[in-house]
Amino acid sequence: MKRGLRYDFSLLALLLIPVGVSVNVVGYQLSSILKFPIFIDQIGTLFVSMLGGPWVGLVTGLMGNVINGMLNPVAFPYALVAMTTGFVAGLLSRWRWYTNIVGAVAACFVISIAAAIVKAPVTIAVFGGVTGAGSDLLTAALLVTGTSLIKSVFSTSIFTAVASTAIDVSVSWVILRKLPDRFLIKFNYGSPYVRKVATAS
Amino acid sequence: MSVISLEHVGYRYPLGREDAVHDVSFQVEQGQVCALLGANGSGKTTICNLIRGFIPRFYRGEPTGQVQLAGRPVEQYDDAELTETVGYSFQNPFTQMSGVKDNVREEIAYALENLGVEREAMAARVDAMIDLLHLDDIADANPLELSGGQRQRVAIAAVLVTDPPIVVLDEPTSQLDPQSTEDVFNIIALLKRQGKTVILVEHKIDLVARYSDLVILMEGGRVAMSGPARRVLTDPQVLDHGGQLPEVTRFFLERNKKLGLNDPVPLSVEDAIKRYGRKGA
Amino acid sequence: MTGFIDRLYPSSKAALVLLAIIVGIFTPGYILQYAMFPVFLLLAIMAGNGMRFFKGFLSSVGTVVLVIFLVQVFIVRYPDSAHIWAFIALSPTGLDKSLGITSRIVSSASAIMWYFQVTTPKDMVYAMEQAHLPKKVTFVIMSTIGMVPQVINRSRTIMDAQKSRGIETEGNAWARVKSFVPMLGPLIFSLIQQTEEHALALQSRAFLAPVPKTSLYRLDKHTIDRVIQVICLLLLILFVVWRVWK
Repeated sequence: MKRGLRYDFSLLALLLIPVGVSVNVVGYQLSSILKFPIFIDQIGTLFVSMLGGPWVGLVTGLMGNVINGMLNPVAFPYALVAMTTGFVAGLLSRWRWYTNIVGAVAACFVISIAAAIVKAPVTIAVFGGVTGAGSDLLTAALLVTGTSLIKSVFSTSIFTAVASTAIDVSVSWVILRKLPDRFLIKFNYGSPYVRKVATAS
Repeated sequence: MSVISLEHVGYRYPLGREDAVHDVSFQVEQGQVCALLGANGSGKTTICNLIRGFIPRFYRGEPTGQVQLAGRPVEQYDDAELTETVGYSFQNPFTQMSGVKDNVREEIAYALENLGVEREAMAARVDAMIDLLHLDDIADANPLELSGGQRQRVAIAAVLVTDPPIVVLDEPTSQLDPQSTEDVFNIIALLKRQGKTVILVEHKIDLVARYSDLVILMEGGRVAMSGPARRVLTDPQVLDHGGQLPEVTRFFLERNKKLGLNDPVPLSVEDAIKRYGRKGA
Repeated sequence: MTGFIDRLYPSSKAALVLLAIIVGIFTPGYILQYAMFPVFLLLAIMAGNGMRFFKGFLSSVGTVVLVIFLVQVFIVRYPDSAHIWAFIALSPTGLDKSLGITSRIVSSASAIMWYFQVTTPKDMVYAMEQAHLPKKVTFVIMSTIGMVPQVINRSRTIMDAQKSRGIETEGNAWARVKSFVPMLGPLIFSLIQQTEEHALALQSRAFLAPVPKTSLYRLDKHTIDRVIQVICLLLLILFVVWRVWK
């Protein structure tokens, strides 16, 4: 099958991007209502990556942070993290990791590690290690036990990334599996999730 | 040469269990209003999609048979040509707004912007559409804050603005109040006078009878009945194929049957008055 | 005076902001960087946006800056940390570092926040179109900015209903995760369902036509815009020369 940027950014895929960003925002609001201690703000990015592939996922991650950054500039540097999340999640969709539960669980770990690898250097380089998020308590706790700054930030990043990605991935995966086939079939990366085999004509 | 011609057209949506349309053939001549009738799921929208080339450009799968516009197979048209040839307004007024414009004027201009029309020419066309669809009072409103009926009128304006020779209207009045419905049908009459060819999917049978030249009645993806509106819509068989007849027509058909007459059956109230008004029915 | 900044072309404001960010990041020290906050506050006041800028800045950047100060000065251990009490220690290195970090956050964030408060998305996207960015890019930006508030409005009703039914906020983590599905699922279904007809509607309005887009909306570039852009470019060159020379 022909793959490329032009193929990935079909008009339908383009329309997924605002959907993904909106779902990110609503998901984030929900997570604060549900009193989660970590940010669950990438459900839409994950969902869109699964249906639209790596590049559409990357742009969704970017747009989410741009929209957020217009009001809160501190969010801008973390666009890199959301872009990585979207890109890796989309690659795994291309490789059909989400078609079974084992692959989906493995995907959680791969995506969180990729996100943490990007997140920790951003946190250190731009903010010197802490950003005022709830997870900074963990970083601070590690720091007072004498752990080095870099190690503390990395541990915190891995921990929060695994926890939040696990939720992002599982929620979007469960919803994706409930989408009717006639929706799935229209998206470039949707066909692996179709349950029913087309009846021969 | 027919403006629209379908010959033995069949199509099945991906994953579909059966054909959405099967062996459909009909022709529409320039300046005709052709009404597509039939129950939900009988294949009306699929035919519209085939005429606009959305099948197979957007919906995957292989249509069979041939669709021609002005004598040329629709698959030979490119995207820009199709836009300029076929104007298409959809059922749902909420998905038809571009989502990138914050006032009605620019919303209507969007197709022209995409076609690279110069600003002055664009402004003139937009003003003409605002007049035509009586949109002056909402011209500066945000399209996303309008009611369903207002949006539908904006959507129709946004489609007619490019002045396409063929206009497809898929249930344009389903969200409209009686007055706006009347407005839409007046526009259809105007389009007809301008020599445009109109494909109309519509359930309001009394209005269909008054304004259309040609009727195609669909049932289960096939053409059940087709022909001039006057012939089809006075034929009681329409009822056997899941179609409806205008009130007046039904009244006169019943009357003929009861009284054992063979009088000509009128299609509309105006028609009936003209024919029987003086004598009294 | 209020109209002056509104009338500036988006790329002039962007040039100003980029210059401020680059100069802020690469100039040693912290005085200049902190000074950029009052400068942009003044520019915001000139645009009639002072209060909004000040409040937005405090709520988004304020906490971050405060936390960085506290952690760097009192918690992170440096060779010169002097123990004060329990896990608290005071470090001059930490103070220095936090001044460096926070001043750069303040300067960059002031510039960015000012830009988005005085430039409407519509003007921004118009300028991008005029700069011949692909239509798909400007479309994604504009439709995302337009869609988010709409969806939030729509989801508010869903969430209120769920809240009044009493959703799981106490139970175990998995139960709470599961409660995402009934709330987000219907929203995603309806949004995905709409994409199809929206795509067709856009196509029938020539979205895919391979010609340069024009615009009914109009925004003019004035002489002052050219002056600002040239000055910014010159200042940037001077700055680079100065930094490289030293």
